[in-house]
Amino acid sequence: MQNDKIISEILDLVTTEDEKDSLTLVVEDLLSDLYKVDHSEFEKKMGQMEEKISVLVKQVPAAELPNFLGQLKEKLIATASVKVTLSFKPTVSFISRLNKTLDAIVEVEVNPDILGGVVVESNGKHVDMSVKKVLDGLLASV
Amino acid sequence: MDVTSQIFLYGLALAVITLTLTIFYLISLYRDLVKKLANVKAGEKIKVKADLDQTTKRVIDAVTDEVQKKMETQFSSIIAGSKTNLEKDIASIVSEVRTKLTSDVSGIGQTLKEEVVSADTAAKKVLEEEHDKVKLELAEFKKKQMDEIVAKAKIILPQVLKDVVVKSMDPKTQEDLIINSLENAKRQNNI
Repeated sequence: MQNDKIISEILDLVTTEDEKDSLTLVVEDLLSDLYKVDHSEFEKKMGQMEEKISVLVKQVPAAELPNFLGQLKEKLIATASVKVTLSFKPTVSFISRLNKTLDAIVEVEVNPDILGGVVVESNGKHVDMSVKKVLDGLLASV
Repeated sequence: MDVTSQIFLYGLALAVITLTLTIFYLISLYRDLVKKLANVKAGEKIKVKADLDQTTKRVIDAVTDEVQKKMETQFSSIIAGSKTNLEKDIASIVSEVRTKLTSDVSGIGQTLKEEVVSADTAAKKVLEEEHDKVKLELAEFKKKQMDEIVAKAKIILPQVLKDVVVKSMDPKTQEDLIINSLENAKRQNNI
């Protein structure tokens, strides 16, 4: 139960698709190095994680670590991601807001041509809420 | 042959007939007198001759007067008849000419009226065709101009929005608008 809570907190910290891919790779590496005699490599790879995530992972007892990392990997892969296109480069805090609003990991793409607003792609759906679309609609109706 | 010639010929014929009859009458009278004269005595010859001359003169004068009166009457009648006929003919001719002219003028008037109406209709049709043509050209020109304006607007407006509206909006406001849009979309199950 404790591990589930830690996994949930870790997933909350993963806000972007890049972060998810990066963490998934690290978890896979950790799983492959788990049973090696030399633990220095493991420690080194743990250091590649975000500090907050690393702190959370270290709370897991060593004996439960294989099962924990396996669950974390599965959760990461299963976590839905949403592609979000913006006209500007988002700040970390804004990405976090997007993540919470969409309740999913976001894959951010910057495209100034959309002028403003947002374009969302998820589960085969494409929702264009950009300023460019509004403008095109207005011009088409002229 | 004109009317005057006809009158002259009729008059001449009548005069010849009248004179012929008069001559025959005079010859007859003269024969009677000669018979009477043959029976008269020689002494009475001079007196008888004088009476005869006197009588003959009176008869001739009377016949001449009669002939003259009859000729005058006949001529007057012929002239009167001719005049009447002539007047009738002239009236008839005038009437015919008037009728014909009226008919012709009326026909010309009708023809002119029809021509004018026809010309009016044709002119109206041409004007309407020209009007439609100009209207079509104007609509095409307007559409072309509007297309050009829209094409230019499509190039200019995004740039203006990017430069003015988007830049003038602070990042926090933009972020809030995006979050609001996403929340609305989620509520409507669009994402």
